[in-house]
This record gives sequence, structure tokens and C-alpha cells, in this order.
Amino acid sequence: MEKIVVHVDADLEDLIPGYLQNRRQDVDVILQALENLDFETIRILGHTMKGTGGGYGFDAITEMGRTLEAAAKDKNDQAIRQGVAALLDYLRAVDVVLQ
Amino acid sequence: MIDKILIVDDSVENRQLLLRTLGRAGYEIVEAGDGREGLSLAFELLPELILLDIVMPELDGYQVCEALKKDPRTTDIPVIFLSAKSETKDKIKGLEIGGADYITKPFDRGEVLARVQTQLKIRRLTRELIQANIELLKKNAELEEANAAITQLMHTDPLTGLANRRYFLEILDNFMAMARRHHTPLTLVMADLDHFKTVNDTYGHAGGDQVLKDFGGLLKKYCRREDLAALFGGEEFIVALPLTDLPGAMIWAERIRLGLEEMVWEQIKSTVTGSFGISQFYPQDTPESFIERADIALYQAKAAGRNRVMHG
Repeated sequence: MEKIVVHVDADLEDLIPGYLQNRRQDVDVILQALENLDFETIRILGHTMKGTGGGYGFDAITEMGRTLEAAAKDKNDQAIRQGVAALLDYLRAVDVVLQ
Repeated sequence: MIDKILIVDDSVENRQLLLRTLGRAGYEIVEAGDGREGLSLAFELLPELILLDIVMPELDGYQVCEALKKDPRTTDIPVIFLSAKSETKDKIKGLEIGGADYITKPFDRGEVLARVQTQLKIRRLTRELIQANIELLKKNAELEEANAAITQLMHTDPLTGLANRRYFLEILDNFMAMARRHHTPLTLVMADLDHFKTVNDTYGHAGGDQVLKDFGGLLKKYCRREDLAALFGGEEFIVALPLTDLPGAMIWAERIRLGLEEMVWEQIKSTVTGSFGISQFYPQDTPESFIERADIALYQAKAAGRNRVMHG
């Protein structure tokens, strides 16, 4: 898999592993919520991702959050699954470079 | 003093990011994880600034801001909304309910810091302006007071506390204009202390001054609010009595004459008496003619043996 290089402010070095780990947990929570048809939880998680991603340097996470929030609002099962898959791919491929 | 900033956001990760950004800049940060906690901390700590998320469970950011703006303790604390709600209508709503600024998430840390610094600067300058205004109002009041005191001194004879000659003449003009216009009576009473030179020679200037002062007090006591008594020069006094006709002025002056006769002083053994001359106003009068008739009447009272009231 091709690495996705992301340049992140060195000042946030200690916060980055935890942030990415929380996104991995979000994947599990979203999939579980989808099984329960709990779209509100997915919408909130999407909204939070949208609001935080770019701040940590991960603009792609902001975009994925936006997609997930919209999909949850529409109760679009398929779009949510695609969003989760894209997020998982991103988390596997991301390569953080401090600057 | 370190500025205290309250961050109200349900996302731990956002709070962490803000804490890192603002903490590094030297601010003291207090965190709240929801609207209710934020509100309670705001009232308790009265921070210098509040960074407020909008979408939060239970109490949202708009509701928190409205509650802060309603309370006089927190109404002046600048609130910067920080929200992933990026539509123009959301921003307008935030600013309309009292937000000082609105930053969309995800935010740039440098931009947040710059906007925070701007709001804190505005708050500091506003405070300084209010303080300067208070000082200015205080100074103005002092100046007005001093001006009033100076005006009072300019109008007053320092020994008797009565009006001085210049101020009396100024006011007499008004009295005469009113009497002319409304066809109302106006009278002048001129009074002179009899044998005042003897009082001065016998008891010294201190004794004489005491008599002048006490006679001034007697005049003041019998003057109505609209009357004006003045030390006209030496031991000569003058009183203008608006809305008072000649018989009224005669009665008034007689009362003063008797009052003076009954006055006793510790250091002055003899009785001090006064002579009084009265004139009534005619529309064709000038201040000089009006005063002159009172003066002539006073001279006549003196010539007739003193200690009496006469009119011209």
C-alpha cells in the first residue's frame, strides 16, 4: 500500500498517536452503531472528525468526517460503509512527518 | 496577570488542541466538556474570554452564549464561537446573540491565537476607556464644583456672606426688567448703621466687623428666597424686594430696624441702630434713579434723628 505522507506540527507530536488511535476506535463504534441503526452516533462522530482532523494536520479526516456526517443524516447505509472503508485505508496508509 | 480563558467543547481532542495552542502562549486554560459545566465555570471564574463550541449535548453553544449575555456578571466577557457549523446563517446567528467572533472548525491554531489576542486587546482597551471616562467625569464634576465656588466667591462679600455691589447691580437689572414687563411692584431698602464709626473707634475693627456680619445675618434671615441683600459699601446695605410694594417694604424694614435694636453683643456694650430709606420702582426708572431715591430717603432718615425708616 502506498504511503500517504502528512506533515504535522512538531508541537503536536505527543498528541498524534492518540488522535489516530481514537479514529481507529471510531471505526468500530461506527460499524457497531450502523448495526443498531444508530445514525445519530455516526453523525456526531462524523461531525467531530470534521471539526478536529484539519486542526491536527489531517485534512483528509475532516473531509471523511464531513462525508460520514452527511451520510448519517441521510441514513445512507452504503455511503457510511464506504466512508468507514476510506477512513480505514487512510489510517493504514498515513505516514506522519513532523515539521 | 495571566489571562484566564475558558474552553467549552465536548470534543476532548479539540480541547487538547486549544489547550496546547493557548497554553503555549501563556494563557491559563480552564476546560468544560459541555454547555452546563461551561456556564457554571463561567459564572464561578469570570474568565477573560470564552471559546465556545456550538454543537454539544443538552445545552448548545447558542444557549450558553445567550445565558452569559443575559447575566450582568458575564455579559462583557467576549465569546468566540468555534464550530464545525460553517454555514453563513450559523455565523450570523452566533454574532447576533452576542458572540464577539466566529471561527470554523477545523481551525488553524495560529488564527485562533491571533483572534483570541485581538479580543483580549479589545477587552483591555474597552476597560481602559471606561476607566478613563469615569476619571474624566470625576474631573468634570470637580471642575464644575470649583467653577461654582469661584462664581460664588465672585458674587459674594466675604465678611457678611451677602451679595457684593457688582452682583447686586447685575441682578437689580433683571428685577427691574421683570417688574416693568409684568407690572409688578419692586422696592429697594437702603440701610446704614448709625454712628458706625464710633463702634469701630471704640471696639476696634474686629468689633465693627462683627456688627456688620451680624446685621448681614439679620437681613438674610428676613429675606425671602426671591429677595437679594448686598453690602453696598462701607456700612451701607441694600436690599431689593421683588413683588413687594411700598407699605410691605416699610413693614419689612421696620422689622429689621427693631431686630437690630434688640441685638446684643458680648464685646459691644451699647445698642447699635440703623437708618433705612426705601424707594419704589417706577417703569421709567434707571438703576441709578431707583437707588438714588432710596439713598435720599436714607439721608432723610438720618437727618430726622436716625434709627427710623423713611421712604422717597
